[in-house]
Amino acid sequence: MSLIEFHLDSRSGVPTYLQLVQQVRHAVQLGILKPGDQLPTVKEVVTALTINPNTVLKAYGALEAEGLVEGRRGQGTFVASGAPAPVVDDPGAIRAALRRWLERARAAGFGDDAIAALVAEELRDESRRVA
Amino acid sequence: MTPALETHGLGRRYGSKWALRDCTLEIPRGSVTALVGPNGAGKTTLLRLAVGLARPSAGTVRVLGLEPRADAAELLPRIGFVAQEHPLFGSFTVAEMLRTGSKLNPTWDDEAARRRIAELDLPLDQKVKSLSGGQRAQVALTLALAKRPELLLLDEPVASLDPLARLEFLQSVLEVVSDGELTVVLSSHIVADLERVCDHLVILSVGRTQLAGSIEEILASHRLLTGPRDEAADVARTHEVLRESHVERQTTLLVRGGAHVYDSRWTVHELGLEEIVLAYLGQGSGRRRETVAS
Amino acid sequence: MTWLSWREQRTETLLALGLLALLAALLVPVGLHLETLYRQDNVAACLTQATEACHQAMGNFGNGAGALRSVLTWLTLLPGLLGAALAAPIILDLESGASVFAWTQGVTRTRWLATRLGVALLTSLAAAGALTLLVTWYRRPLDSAFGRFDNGVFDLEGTVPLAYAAFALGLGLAVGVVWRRTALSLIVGFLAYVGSRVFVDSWLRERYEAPLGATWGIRQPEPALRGAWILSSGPSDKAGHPFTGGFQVIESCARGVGGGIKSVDPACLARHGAGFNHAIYQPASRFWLFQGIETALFGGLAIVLIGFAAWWLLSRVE
Repeated sequence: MSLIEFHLDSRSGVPTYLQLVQQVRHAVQLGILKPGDQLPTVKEVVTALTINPNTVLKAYGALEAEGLVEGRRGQGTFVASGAPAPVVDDPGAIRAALRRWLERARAAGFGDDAIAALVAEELRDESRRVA
Repeated sequence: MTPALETHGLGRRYGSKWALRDCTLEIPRGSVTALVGPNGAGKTTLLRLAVGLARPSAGTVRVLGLEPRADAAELLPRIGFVAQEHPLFGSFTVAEMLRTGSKLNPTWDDEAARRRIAELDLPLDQKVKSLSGGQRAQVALTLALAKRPELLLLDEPVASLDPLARLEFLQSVLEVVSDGELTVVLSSHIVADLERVCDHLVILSVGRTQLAGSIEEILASHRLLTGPRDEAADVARTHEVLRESHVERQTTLLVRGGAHVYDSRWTVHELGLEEIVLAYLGQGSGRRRETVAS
Repeated sequence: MTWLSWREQRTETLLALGLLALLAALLVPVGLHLETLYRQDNVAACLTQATEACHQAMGNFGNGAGALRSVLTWLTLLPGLLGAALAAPIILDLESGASVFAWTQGVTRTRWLATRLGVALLTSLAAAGALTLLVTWYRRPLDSAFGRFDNGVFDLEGTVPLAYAAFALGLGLAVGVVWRRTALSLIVGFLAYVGSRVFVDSWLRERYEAPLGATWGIRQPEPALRGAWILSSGPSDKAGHPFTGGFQVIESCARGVGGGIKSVDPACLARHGAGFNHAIYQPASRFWLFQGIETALFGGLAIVLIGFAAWWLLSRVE
């Protein structure tokens, strides 16, 4: 059983491999994945998402290049021991901050669509900067 | 290593009509390549030339470094081919189809074939003609994979399948790709899903190759530019324009490659694969420059 | 590969076997019955005599063989049916597209074709051979009494049925590989088979060798034409020129001998150029020569047709 499960958003415009990279980063940052944990095998990801194996290899390659994970020959890919510790110990704090931000947005007259668009755009810009 | 599939000026003519013309491309080993184009674009012809069912009228085709017709005895055991509509012997049972495969193929992996059939819950004693489209496609794929091919050629493999069967079929193919060194070429007139499944793309239209390359490069090299109409000509000088449309003051250009220096009055958008493919297909049918008068 | 060829033509092979079994069920009892009659009527002894009693015996025997003889003439179509039926599975594969599957497996198209054609051809030959043996066994008494050179018998015995079957197979294949419509191709192929057979039976065969003629006086015993294929016979003059006068001439030569019975005066007939009988025939000794010629003819056509089908499949069909 895999420790994490990937999801794809086909309408986000973010390349598939980058979505995988972000989801692993995210999982490490939130402490869902800890050093030594194994990532889903390429075959597991391919079967679950019906995506090209080379895409998974590319995503894992990118994560390896930034030192977040390490490939062990014949075993799979694992979260590296040197991976940064979770930045936030308490996801609840983030959520509270988001709720405050939402209240401000509502007060400024933003509707659901405008808020969603704002977040999506910001995420896309961020992913482009990181990539 | 020689490419999985390599063509130079390849053409096939039926009577006076060219089904495929001047096709030059190279498909690297280990890739999953989509062959995209509308019906009648020459996709089937290209695949049939590659498996040696058809003979070229012009140019050359080499598969795994071999010539499909002349080296058939050596090449055929190394490639798997699933034709459109997945033809099989209709009066045979699934078990008899497996036996047929084992008799016709020196590299047959009977255990793997039986395991797949069992995993897919396909009834061994059922006649092929009474299977559903999705089941038939899976039997055809099982037979092609049990050859343990280096190259798998699939002609419109999912066109006749319902969404669930389509997903299962692609899953099966990709699972094998992730297991080892298998190259896959699949033709399709449906562009959706291909971006996820494939890493290389060949666009065929009216019998010619419009574009061939890795999807990553293709996505990176195509942009949609929007800017003032009076500067459209300057941009066109430095970029290959695939499609342009004008309204009174604004011009929208779909461009390939080119320098990154843009006037600040131009906005740059990234494009999805589907938009790029459609731009090329439109070009192929002669609508290279479409102008929308305002 | 051989297994596949058998499996592909399983229906047709079973059909042929069923047909042969049915025929055997019909012909074996009749054949046994004929042999009994043959011995009872003492036909063997009469083959060298021409007495009135023997005439009677032969007639009895001929009647005993019964209507089955004329029905069995239709058997001559059977080799054609067998050959055409065995062409069916190969064409069906082309029509359904299954040949595309077959030709992209690990064996070359040439090998696939050689095995498929080989098995189909052998099956047609075996079925036609079994049919021939069956018919020849059943006809043994009839053949020794009446010969086997006549149309309707010649083409059921010897080696020609095998050539017919191969020819029909070739026709079915040649039409089928070009047309790729199984049912229609087989119908057209079979009709072409019937047409060729009718042409050869009714016109060509008697011309393989120049026929012989025999002339004998009408009161003289018949010459030994047993087993010969009589092409024509009738009254003639001494030199064998056929009598051309009408029935009234014969009538005029007849006179009453009392009791309402009329007798024809030979001298009168001779005066009118009808004093002799003349027969044009192919002698029984030519049976195997003719079998050889016709086997070569249809066998040769079969080779050409099957060769054409193979060439077409290898070079023209994609």
